[in-house]
Amino acid sequence: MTAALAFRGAARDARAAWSLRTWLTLAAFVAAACVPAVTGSARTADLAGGLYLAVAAVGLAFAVGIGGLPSLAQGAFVAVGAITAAHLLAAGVPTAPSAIAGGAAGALAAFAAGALFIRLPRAAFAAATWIVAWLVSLGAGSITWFLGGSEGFVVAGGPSPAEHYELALGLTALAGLAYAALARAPLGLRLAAARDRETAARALGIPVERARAVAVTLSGAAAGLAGALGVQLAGVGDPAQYGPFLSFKLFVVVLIGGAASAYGAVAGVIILGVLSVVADAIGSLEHVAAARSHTLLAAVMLLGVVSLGWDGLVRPARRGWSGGRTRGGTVAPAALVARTLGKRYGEVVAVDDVSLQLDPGTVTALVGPNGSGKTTLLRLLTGAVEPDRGTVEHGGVVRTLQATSIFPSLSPLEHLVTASAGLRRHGGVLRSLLSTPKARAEEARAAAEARSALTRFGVPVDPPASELTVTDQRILMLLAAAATGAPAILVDEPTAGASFAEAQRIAGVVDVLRAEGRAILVVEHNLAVVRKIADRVVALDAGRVVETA
Amino acid sequence: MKRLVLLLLAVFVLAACEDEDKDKKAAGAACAGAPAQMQAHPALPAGFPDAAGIHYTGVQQKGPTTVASGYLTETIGPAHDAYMKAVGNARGYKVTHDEQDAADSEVNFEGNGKSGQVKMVQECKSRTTVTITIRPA
Amino acid sequence: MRLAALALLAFVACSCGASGSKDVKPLLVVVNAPFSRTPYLGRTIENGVRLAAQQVAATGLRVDGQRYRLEVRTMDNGLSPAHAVANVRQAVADGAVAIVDEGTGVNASWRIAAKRGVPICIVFDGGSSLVDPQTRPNVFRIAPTDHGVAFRLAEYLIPKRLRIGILHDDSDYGTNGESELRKAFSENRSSVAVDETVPADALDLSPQVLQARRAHATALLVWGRPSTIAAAITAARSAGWNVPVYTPPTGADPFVRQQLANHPAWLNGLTFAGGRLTAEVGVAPFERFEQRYETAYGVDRVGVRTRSGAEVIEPPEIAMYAYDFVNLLAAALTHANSTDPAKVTRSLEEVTIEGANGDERSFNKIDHEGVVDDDVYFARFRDMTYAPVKDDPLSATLPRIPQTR
Repeated sequence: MTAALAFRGAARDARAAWSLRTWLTLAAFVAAACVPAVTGSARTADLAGGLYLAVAAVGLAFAVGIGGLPSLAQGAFVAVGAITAAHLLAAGVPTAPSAIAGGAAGALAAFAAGALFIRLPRAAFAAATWIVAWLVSLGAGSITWFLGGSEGFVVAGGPSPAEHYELALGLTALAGLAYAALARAPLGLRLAAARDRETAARALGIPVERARAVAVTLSGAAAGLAGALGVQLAGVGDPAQYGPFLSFKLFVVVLIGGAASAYGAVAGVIILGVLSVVADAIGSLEHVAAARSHTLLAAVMLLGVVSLGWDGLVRPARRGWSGGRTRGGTVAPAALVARTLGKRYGEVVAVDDVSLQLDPGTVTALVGPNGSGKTTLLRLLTGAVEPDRGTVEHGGVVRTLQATSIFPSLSPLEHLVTASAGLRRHGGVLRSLLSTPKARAEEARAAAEARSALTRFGVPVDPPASELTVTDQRILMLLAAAATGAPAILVDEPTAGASFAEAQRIAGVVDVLRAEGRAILVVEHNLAVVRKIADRVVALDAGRVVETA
Repeated sequence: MKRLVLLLLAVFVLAACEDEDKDKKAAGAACAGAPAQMQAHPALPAGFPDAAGIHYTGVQQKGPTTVASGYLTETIGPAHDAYMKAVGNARGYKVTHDEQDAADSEVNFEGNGKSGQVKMVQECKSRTTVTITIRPA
Repeated sequence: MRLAALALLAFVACSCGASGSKDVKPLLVVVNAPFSRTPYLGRTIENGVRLAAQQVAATGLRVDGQRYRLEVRTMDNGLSPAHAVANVRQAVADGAVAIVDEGTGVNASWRIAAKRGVPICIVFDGGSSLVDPQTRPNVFRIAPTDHGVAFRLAEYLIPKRLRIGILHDDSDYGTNGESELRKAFSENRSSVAVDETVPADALDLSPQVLQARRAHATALLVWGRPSTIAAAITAARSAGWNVPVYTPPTGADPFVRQQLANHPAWLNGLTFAGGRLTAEVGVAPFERFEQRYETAYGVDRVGVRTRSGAEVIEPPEIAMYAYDFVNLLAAALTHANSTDPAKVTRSLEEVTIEGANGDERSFNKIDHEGVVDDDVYFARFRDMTYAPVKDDPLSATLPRIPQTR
C-alpha cells in the first residue's frame, strides 16, 4: 500500500470517527495551547509541571483503568526518569535524548517491578508497589549521588517555561491518544478481560501476566518521560518531590478523573490543581503549610472517591468499531489426544487412567454424576492443572467455565474481538499506537466477523455483556471460545438451569460449531441435549471412564 | 524637669560613645616603648607582602592559620593606606574588603590560595599594631 | 456652617493623604525561607526585612524622582530546593527587585533570578559554593560562611592540643561542613581522633559518641543541624562523659536549648562559633537595633529559663543580616537611581552602609560576602545563656549581650 493510499485511508477513518466530542477536544487543545500568551513565566512553568504530571497520570490510568492494576509506584518511576535525565543533562546530553532515556529508565524500572509483583493479588500488588515508592524515595533522599541530597541536583539550561508548556501539552494529547488506541487494541481488550474475570480470560487463552507486564511497563515509560522533562523544567532535582506522596497523588488523580477514560486523568489533574489552590487559601488562613494542606486534601478526596464508589468524572466512551468485509472461514482442523491421564488430591483420586480423543467436526459428550471428575478432567485437558501421569496433545484448546463468566464491562462484540486477538498479526502495541493501515484493516475484519457471528445467533452486539440474558451470555461464551480459533473447545455444562427452549438454542450453536469443523467436548447433565448433539458419549465415574458410546 | 531630661540624655549619649572614646583616647596617648622585633624577617605564607615600615614582633601557627604580629610607626590612616597599597599591588593578591574607623581598621584579602585579614589598631600616638591572619582559602 | 467647613477640610486632608500614598509606588522584596519547616528562622528573617522596610519608608526612598516603599512578601520554600526555585521564578515574574533567601535551592534558583538581574541575598546558609561573584554575579550573602567557621574552629581548637572527635550529620549542612573541616584540619590530622557521619534525623547518637570516646577524643566537634547537636550532647552527658563540645552557629539555635531544657547542666560548656553581633564601635548600635526589633515584634523567646527563673531570649542575629541587606538595597536603589534589578545588582557592589551593629556593611566586585571570616567569634553557654570566650583574641574583646528578660 502506498503512503498516499494509507494516508487517504487514515483520513477516511478519522472522518468517520469524528464527533462533537472530538471537536470539543480539539477546541480545548487549541485554547490550551494559547495559554502561555496570557500567563507569566512562573504560572506557565506551574502549568507545564501540571501537564507533565498529567502525562504520568495518563500512563497510570492505563495500568489502573484498563489493566485493573492498583499501582502505587508511579511516583517512583517518575523519580527514576528524573534521576536518569538529570545526570544525562549534567553530562551535556541534549533534552530530547535525555527525555527518551528517562522514559526508557522508567519503563525498565516498571518492568522490573511488574516482573516481581504481577502475579500477586491486587491488594498485595498495591502494597508491594507502595513499598517500591518508599524505597525509591528513601534512596533518592539518602544517596546523595542520585539527586544531590536535600540541596537537590541542579539541572541547568533547556527549553523555556513556554516551550516546556507546549511540549507538555503535546505529550499529554499524545498520551491520551495512545491510551485510546491501546484501549481498543488487543492488548487493551485482553487487559480489560483479565481485569473483569481473570479466570475466564485465562480460559480463553489470554496471556494475562504478559499483558499486565506490558501495561505496567508502558505506564512506567510515561512516568519516566514525565519525570525526565519535569526535572529540567524545575531546574533542580529535588528528592522531596518524588516521595510516596507523588505516587499517592497520581493514584488519587486517576481515580478522581476516571481511570477508564483517555482524558480522565487529565481531568483529575485539573480538579486537584483547582482544589489545591483552594486548600492553599484555607491553609494560609489557618497557618497550615501548603504541603500539609495538599496531603490532607488528597487524602480526603481519596476517601470520598472510595467510599462513594465514584467511577471518575470522565466516563469511558463506548468504543466504536468500524465495519469491513467478512472473511469466510473455517478453523484449521486439529485434534486433542489425552493418554492415561491421572490426578489425585491427597487420598482422593480425581481422575484415573483416562484416555480420550477429540476429532474435528465432532461433539463428544462427557457425562457422569457430581464428583465423578469431569471438571478435573477438563482442567487437565486445558493444562490448568498438571496431571500426575499421562499426556495431552492438542493443536489449541479453550474452555468455557461452568459459571457464566462473561467480562461485564465489555460488549459482546468486544468479547469476540478480544478472543480473536491472538489470531491477529498486526495488532501489536506499536502498530496499535501508530494505528497502521494493516492494524486498522485487521481490526475492522475482526469486528465484522464478530458482528456476523453475534447476529447469526441473535446475540445483541453493543450493550455491556452484563446486560444480556443468561442464555445470551452462555452463547457469547461459546462464540468467544470459537473466536479464539482453537481447534478444540471444551464446554462445561452450557445448559445448566436453562429452559428447554434455551437449551435447544444453545445446542444449536454447538451444532453449528461442529459443522465448522471444531472438536467439541461438552460436559452435560441434560440428556436431551446430549442426544441432540453428541456424536459420542463418554461416561465418567469416580475418575474412571466406565463407558464409551 | 527639662534639665533632668537633658542630663539623662547626655549621660546616655556619652555612655554610647564611651567605647569609641576609649579607643580614641588610647590612640592619642604618647607611645611607650616599642615591643621587641623579631630577629629575622618571618616567612609569611604565599609571599604575603610587607607594608612599608612594618616591624614584625612575632609569628605563630594556629592550626592551618598563620598569625603574624607587628607594628607600624604610623597613625591608623597611613597604616591602613600602607596595607591597601601593599596588598593591592602584590602579585596574586587583591583586597576583598576594607574598613577604617577612628582608631582601627581591617583590610581583608584573598589570593595565591590564601585569604585573611590585616587588622590594625592605633595603640598610641605614633604606633599602630598590626595583626595579619593568613589561612587557606 | 463651621461644622460643614471642618468636614470639608477633613475630606480634603484625607484625599491629599490618599493621593499622596498613591504617589508612592511599591517595590517588591521577597523573603524566600522555610517558614513551615523552621518557623523561627523564617520569622526572624522576615522580621528583619520588614523592620528595615519600615525604616526605609519612614526616611523615604526616592529613585529617579519617584517615591517608593518596599513591599515585603514571604514565600515558603519548606526546605525544598524545588519549591525554592518555584518561589524565585514567581518572585521574578512578579517584578521583585530583590530576594532575601535562607539559602535552600540557591544553586538552582540563582540562574532564574539572574535572567532579570534580580539580586539574591543569602542570610543563613554558609555553604561555600553558593556565592561566587564571577559566575553568579547576582548572589550575595550576609552570614558567616562555613569556610570561615570551620577554619576559625581549627585555629581555636588545634592550639589547645585536644584530640577532637568530629561528628557531622548527613544533611547538606553537615556534609558541607565536614568538607570544610576536612580542609581546615588537613595539616593537623593528628588533632582529629575520629571523624564520623551520623544520620541527620537520628534521635540517639550513643553509638557514634561511644565510638568517639573509644578513640580517646578529648573534645567533640559536632557539625550538623540543631537536632544532631542536641542528640550528641544528650548521648555524651547521659553516659557521664563531660567532654567539651564545640559547634558551628547551629549550636546557638533555640532548639538545642529546648531539647536540653530538662538537663540545663548538660548545656554548660557548649561552645559555638558564630558571627559577631557587635562591632568595634561597641555594643550600643546593636542594642539600639535590638530595641527597635523588640518594640516591633517582641522578644524571640527561646522557651527555657535560667536557674534563677529568668526567661531566656534570643538576640536577633539573623534578623540583623536581613535588615542590613534591605538597607544596602535601599542605598543601591538610590545610588543606581533606577529600579531595574540588573542596575541595582551592580549598584550593590558600590554602596556601603552602617550596619545594625555599627559595622560597615558592603559588597564589591570581588567579594559578595557581607561577613568576613575574621568576624567569627566563639561563645560558651552557661545557665542557658552564652558569653564570648576569653581565650580567643577576637572573642575576648566582645561584650556579653543580655539574653534574659
